[in-house]
Amino acid sequence: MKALMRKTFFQWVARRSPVSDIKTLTQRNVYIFPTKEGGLFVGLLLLLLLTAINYQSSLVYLFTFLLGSLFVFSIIFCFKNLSGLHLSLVATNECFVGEEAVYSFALKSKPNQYCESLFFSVPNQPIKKVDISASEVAAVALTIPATHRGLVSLGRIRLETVYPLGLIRAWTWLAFEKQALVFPTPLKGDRSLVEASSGDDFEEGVKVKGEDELSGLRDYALGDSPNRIAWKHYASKGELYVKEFDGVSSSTCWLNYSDYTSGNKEQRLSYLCHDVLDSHRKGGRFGMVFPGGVVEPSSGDNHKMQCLRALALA
Amino acid sequence: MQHSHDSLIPRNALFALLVAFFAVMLPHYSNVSAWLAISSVVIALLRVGIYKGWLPYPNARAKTLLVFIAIAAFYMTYRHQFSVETAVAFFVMSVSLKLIEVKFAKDCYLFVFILLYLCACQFLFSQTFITALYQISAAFVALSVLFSLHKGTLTIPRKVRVIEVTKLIMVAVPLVIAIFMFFPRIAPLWSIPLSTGKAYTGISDSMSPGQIAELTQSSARAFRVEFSGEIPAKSELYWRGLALDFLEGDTWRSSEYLARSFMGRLNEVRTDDTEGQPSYTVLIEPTDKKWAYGLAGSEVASSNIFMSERGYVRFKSNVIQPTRYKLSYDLGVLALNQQSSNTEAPVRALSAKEMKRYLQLPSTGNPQTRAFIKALLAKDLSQVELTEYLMSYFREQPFHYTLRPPRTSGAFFDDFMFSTQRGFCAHYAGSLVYMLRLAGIPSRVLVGYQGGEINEQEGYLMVHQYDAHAWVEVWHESTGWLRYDPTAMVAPDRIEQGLEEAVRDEGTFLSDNAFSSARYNRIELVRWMRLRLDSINYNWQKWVVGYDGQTQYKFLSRWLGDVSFKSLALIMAVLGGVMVTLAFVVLGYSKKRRTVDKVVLEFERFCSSLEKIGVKRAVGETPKQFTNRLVGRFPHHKKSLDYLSDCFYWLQYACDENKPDEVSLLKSMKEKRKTLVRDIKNRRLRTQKPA
Repeated sequence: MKALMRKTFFQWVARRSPVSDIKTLTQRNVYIFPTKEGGLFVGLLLLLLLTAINYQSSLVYLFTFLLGSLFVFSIIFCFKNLSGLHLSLVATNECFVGEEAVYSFALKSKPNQYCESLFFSVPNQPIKKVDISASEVAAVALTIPATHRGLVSLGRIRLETVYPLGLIRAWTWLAFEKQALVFPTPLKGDRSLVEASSGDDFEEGVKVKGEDELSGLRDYALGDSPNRIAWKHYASKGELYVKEFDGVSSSTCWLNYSDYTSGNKEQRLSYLCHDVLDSHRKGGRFGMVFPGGVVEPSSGDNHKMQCLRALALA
Repeated sequence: MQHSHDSLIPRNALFALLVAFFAVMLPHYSNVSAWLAISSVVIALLRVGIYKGWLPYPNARAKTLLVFIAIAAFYMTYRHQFSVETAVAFFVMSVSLKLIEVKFAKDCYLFVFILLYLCACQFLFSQTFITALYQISAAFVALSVLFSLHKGTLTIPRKVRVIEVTKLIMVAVPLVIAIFMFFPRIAPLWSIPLSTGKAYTGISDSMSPGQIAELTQSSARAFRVEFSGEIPAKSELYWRGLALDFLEGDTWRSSEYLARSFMGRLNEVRTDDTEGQPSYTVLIEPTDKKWAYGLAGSEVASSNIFMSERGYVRFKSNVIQPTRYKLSYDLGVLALNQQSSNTEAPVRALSAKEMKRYLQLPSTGNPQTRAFIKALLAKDLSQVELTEYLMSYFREQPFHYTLRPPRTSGAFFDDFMFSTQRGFCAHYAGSLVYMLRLAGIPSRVLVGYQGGEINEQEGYLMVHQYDAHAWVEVWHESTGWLRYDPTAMVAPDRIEQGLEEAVRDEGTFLSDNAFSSARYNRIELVRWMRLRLDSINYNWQKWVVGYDGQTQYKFLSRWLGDVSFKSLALIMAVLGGVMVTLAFVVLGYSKKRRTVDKVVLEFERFCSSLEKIGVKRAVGETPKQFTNRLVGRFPHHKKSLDYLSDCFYWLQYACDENKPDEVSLLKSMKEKRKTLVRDIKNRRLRTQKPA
């Protein structure tokens, strides 16, 4: 029953605040209610009113009304602390199972809005406190442990504030579209056969790598190693490019899903993941065969990422 | 929701908590018993020690022990009382004990709430303007504890804070005033005894030599009077309090016993309309007594007082809060210097019982005085003549008015009349009645106040404790009761100008009271400030403290016609609703952005107007990047777009030497923005139309 009510409630919430990467908090999606302490404060107001009535004391009346209007203003300030805040999920990261999925947000406050003591709470995660100055863009990174492979969404998070007196809580539930990509955990697995390429080939390839000819420049992409960035070019033109080398080594190795002797799908994907990283470290060309697709042989960071992404989504 | 709750109190909040504790407790310490006050301070100091890290937190055993000791001591002290004071003392004790334990942020709330309640409790003891100011400030200090728990780490510019606070005050003050004015005042749900057990200064129901002299050293206010018309001459202002008609040794006592005690509250005053007839309204300070003070020949004009059988104004219950009452008076009676409980009626003879009461004397003692009267009686004077003779005797003999009379030994009246001849009103009035009674003339000592100080700024009269006075009323068959003041024979200054003038040479005016500002009345500035402060307090009492159901009704019905409970509630709800909405508008959705950079604002206006046609500036996109992107989409406006972003950079980042004229540039930026947005919109319309 409770679960059902919860479900209907959150369906209603979801209708009011649809999943989107860009959110502006307004009275549509900001909820406001007294906290437990706020309830106690209302009790105090009633007690004061009773005292004023029974002792016919004008000053106690006055005092009661003063505190009462403070309570009302505390609602306004609490709401104002949250309303108008602009949130966007700017980027998510890519990581391995067991690491942390990071969701980077940009928060932008209105020109006259100081947001104090905002609390981000992701279920089962420590709460994150943020203060934002007026017209400021602040970066907040929320993390959840990556427990499974594939696209992992942050889920519904709550953003709340009890500023200024802790008597009122304003909060909002937020769900975002962008998902983090989680690769399988690299595990060393046994491969039944070694074909096409021998260890010697790899050794040779590594040896000659240093003498590679610069084959060209390509656009920088997330994940490229900093030591391959064309810094000289960056200094003169201000654009990021990555140097590409024409590997001398022509030896190609195929990593095949069906080569592993043991393990279910997830385990095998983990083995594959390990071997992709291993092959990349050795610097050779390699291709990958996995359920549902093939990655043509290539080398370099881009290629590694392509393989890992394929594994994550396999 | 575990975050801010089971965390320890931040140090700045704890500091605020200790300040709030002292601020709220300080005025209460005078109302609770000494041990409680002292131990509360000790506990607070211990807590300061813990805060500073000099002491460890007490363990559970120590805390339990402390609680048991406190409860036992509390029971011993207060077991026989049940009053507001007991309740307040209990709160003081619990808050003090709780202080030692407060450790987590969640403990703060309850603690602060009890402090707030204690702030309000102080109003049951004192209702002056200063008290209100103090208590409300203390409440804000207590609330600042909660604020410091939730405050962020931002450093907000002072200008922003000032604007915020100003706006808040501008919205909050009218709201509070409106609710205060319109909130329906409900009758008490149940009656709680408000006995505060506090000692009050004022006239008591007995007078022994020296008692009034003590009172004359107090500059405390007895009451204030507002006359409907002109204030009568000072020499006519005899504020009759009570009659002392029973002499025992040399102490005069009142034999009046008020059997009648009414239920009901003094605050619910219903005042009568006294159109045409001169009247005065008295605002009396708490005396914890039933008697009220009034001029001779006054008649009751408010519901909280009545005229006693003997013709004195009496309250229906003890005065424990500043209370207002109204009387009407007859100018003729006042001027005639004569009075009776009901002058219009023909003079009624005294009954045998009354005769006996007003002739009562100890059977022996004071032989010298007795001989003196006996000799006088032999002259065969009429009663009036005899009284006049005694009065002139005081004038002609070398009597001296002093607040420091020499001690008398043995027979008081003999000593005073024939050897020392130095004394003040109580001596003169007492002796005169003694002698009149010896001569068989019914008479009584009247105590009350005489004169008063006029507050020119507000036009009301202030009567102080040092205006306490004693005089005599004598019964003559033809005229009824007549007032005689022997003091006026000795020291006319006392009656005409007040005590300060009368004892000027002696220098005893408020001599025991070095800090009383009344003592420095001679200094013009002190006097001005004293009167100003008093008039603030008076208006405070009149308009805020005294704003009860009756006043509310009278005040509001002047404009709104007949107001009922229901209409009041409706008015309040509507007014409150409007004001809260207004508060939301002013505080929440304010479009004014004075505090922000004008240049940034200008550019943001541009962005937001483009947002309406579906072009959005991405988060983190610089103005230049944005306009470059726009050029791609609206190539016709390249020049204007570039100009706009250039303006932004010039205004924001240009060095001092080639900084353009900011005002004109900002103005042209604004114009550019407007035309640009209009052009873009128009172009869009034109391109859309054919399609």
